[in-house]
Amino acid sequence: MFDVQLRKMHDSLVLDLAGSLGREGGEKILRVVEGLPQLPERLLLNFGGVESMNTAGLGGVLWAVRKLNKAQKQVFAYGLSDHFRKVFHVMGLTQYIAVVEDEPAALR
Amino acid sequence: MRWRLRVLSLSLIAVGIGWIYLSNYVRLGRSPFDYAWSVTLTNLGGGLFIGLLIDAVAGFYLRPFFRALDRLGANQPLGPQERQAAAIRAMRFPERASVLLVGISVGMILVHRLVSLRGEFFAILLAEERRAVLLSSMTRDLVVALLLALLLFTFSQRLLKPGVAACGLQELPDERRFPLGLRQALVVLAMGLFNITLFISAPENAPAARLIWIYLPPVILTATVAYLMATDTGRDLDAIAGRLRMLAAGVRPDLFKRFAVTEQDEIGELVASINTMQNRVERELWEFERDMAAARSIQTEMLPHAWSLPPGWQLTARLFPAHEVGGDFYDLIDLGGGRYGVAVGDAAGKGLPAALLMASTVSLIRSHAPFHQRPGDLLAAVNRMLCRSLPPMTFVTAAYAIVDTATGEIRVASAGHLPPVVGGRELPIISALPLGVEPGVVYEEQVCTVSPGEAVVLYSDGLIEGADPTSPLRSAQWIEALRGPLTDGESLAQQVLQPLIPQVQQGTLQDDVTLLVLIAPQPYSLAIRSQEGAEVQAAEQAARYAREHGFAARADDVASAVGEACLNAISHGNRFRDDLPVRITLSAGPDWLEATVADGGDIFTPPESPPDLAVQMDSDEPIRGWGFHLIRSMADSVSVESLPAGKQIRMRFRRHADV
Repeated sequence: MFDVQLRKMHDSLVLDLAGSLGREGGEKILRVVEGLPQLPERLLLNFGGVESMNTAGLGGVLWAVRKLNKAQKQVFAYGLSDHFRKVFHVMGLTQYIAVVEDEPAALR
Repeated sequence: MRWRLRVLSLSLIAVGIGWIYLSNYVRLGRSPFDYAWSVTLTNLGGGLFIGLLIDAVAGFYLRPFFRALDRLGANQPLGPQERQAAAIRAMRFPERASVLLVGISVGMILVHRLVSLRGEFFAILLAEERRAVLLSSMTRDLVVALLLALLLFTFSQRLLKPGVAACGLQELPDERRFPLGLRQALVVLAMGLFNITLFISAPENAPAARLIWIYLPPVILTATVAYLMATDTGRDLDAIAGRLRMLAAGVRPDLFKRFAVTEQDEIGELVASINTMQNRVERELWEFERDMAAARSIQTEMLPHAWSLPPGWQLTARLFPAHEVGGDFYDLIDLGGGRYGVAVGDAAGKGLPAALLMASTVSLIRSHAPFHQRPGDLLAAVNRMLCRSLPPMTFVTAAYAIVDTATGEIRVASAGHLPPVVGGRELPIISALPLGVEPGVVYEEQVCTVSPGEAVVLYSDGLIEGADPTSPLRSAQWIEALRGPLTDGESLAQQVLQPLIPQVQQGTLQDDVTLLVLIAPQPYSLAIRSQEGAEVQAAEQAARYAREHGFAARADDVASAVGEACLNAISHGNRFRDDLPVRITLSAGPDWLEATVADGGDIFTPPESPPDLAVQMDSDEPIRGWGFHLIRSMADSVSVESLPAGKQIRMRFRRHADV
């Protein structure tokens, strides 16, 4: 099971992610982003509730990130465990997603 | 008891007087009614006086004894001194009362004759004609007194004996005794005097029918006394002999229960001696058992009770000594690098000598094992040391194995010991001389491999030789039962030892029994359906396995790699076909954890480099193809292998990831 909750913070949109981020989870994130009437200036991905992730799920995330990057929007990720940071690093996600410590750091 | 003594005293006097009258009637033809009333009164009064005097003396002399019995009967405490005083009085009473009876009787015989003959006593003694009758009458009276004294002694002793026993005296007071020989001499004396009396006073040509009335009472009385004395003595001796037999046989019940000294004679002395001996035996036994318990405790502590083996490896060891301590031993020595020395041995002999030998052998093996990479070398070194110190005809059989838990390789050498069993097969090992027999022995070693789920079993000969001839342990059945795959060493040991459990519980083992079972871990296997999301379950299981098997630091890497491999297997290998499962195995060694993920798909050549993410980000295509790259990044080695019906990805993880 994977759950995505939306929060709006000024000009930013926060996605609180929870559960196992697999293909289904990635597609859910993509659907949320594609369904937005207007892309936010910053998309904050809160991975604090994510228990596991795989490349299929991250593929969906990257697809969403690609859409935002093309629109010159920023994407931040926080709440990542050391292992998830390692996975991000291995896949090169850090080139497209700014990994920060927490939400205030992303909003600064 | 007081009343019984009184009745006894008066009964004996009545018997004595009756016999005197009967004797006079038979010898002299005087019926009891022919006597002057004053004589009859004197006779009866004298008898009554003696009876009452003895009764009074009994009441006075035995007062501490009766008081002690009353207190014992009322369950009141009685000090050892009071017990001793009471018992001594009661033991002395039969002898003293008997002497008193004889003494008073002699006095009364003289007084009676002097009074009844009114000054003619000495004249009659000088006159030959009447002297025989007077002397025979006085002798007869003395015989009566002696017999009555013996009866009094015998019956009063019997009467008082239970009470004396209740006092629980365990030692005989060191003073004059009333020996058994003296009692027998008195019986013989009484009968001898009686014969003299009869010889002197028997009327000429007296019919045998009359004489028999004279003979019969003393014969019956002396026979009764002799019989009672003999049976009492015999019963006491039987009881003592029984106790000695128990002591000799080592029977524990009643061992520490003491006989009470109830007689002041040789029997009493014997009982007191037995008690002294029992005290000594008890002390010696207590000291021996204390020492043996300490020895057993030390011996037990010498053996390993807890061990740390690589995850999945199981060691179960059981040792049942036939005696308090034994010569069998087992040991497990961590040699480092996932290698372990496993030893089972049997020191020759039984009990303490074997235990001492076992202790020194275990110490030698334990201290030398880290310095020898080959089991044969270790046995040779231990043999050299033992040969220097052991006396002749002393030896130890031992099997020693070095188990490499990383590879499953086992090197075994045997010094006159039974061959180890590996994977349900006895190793065809060349066993050399036992340790301590001859220096310079070369111990050949056998090398084999224990596969996952198989057991290495070492044991002592007590396991086989102690079993019933019909037991499976006597045949090859039990060895076949050790074939893998095995999962539970405890159950296996219990199953093997089951035929010997009754002997262990009853303490009837003839020889020490030792069994050591080392089971190589079986891979953990798991199958998932080829459905989207099932890989999450496999990843979680893999992470848990890694944590449980000492790879906690790599648990996330293992989970990610296994999850990706499963994802690949579900989507590309089995193409989401529900009838094709994805099979995962996990196995852990001391340094490596290995995972395999198998599916029904075709083998593929893994890409050498990861996809170009920049290109993927610029395109509109789905972003994929990262799975194998992630696996390679998480695992320390990855390979793709072909299977008869599919392929598998094999991933290995070091215990500690490279920094």
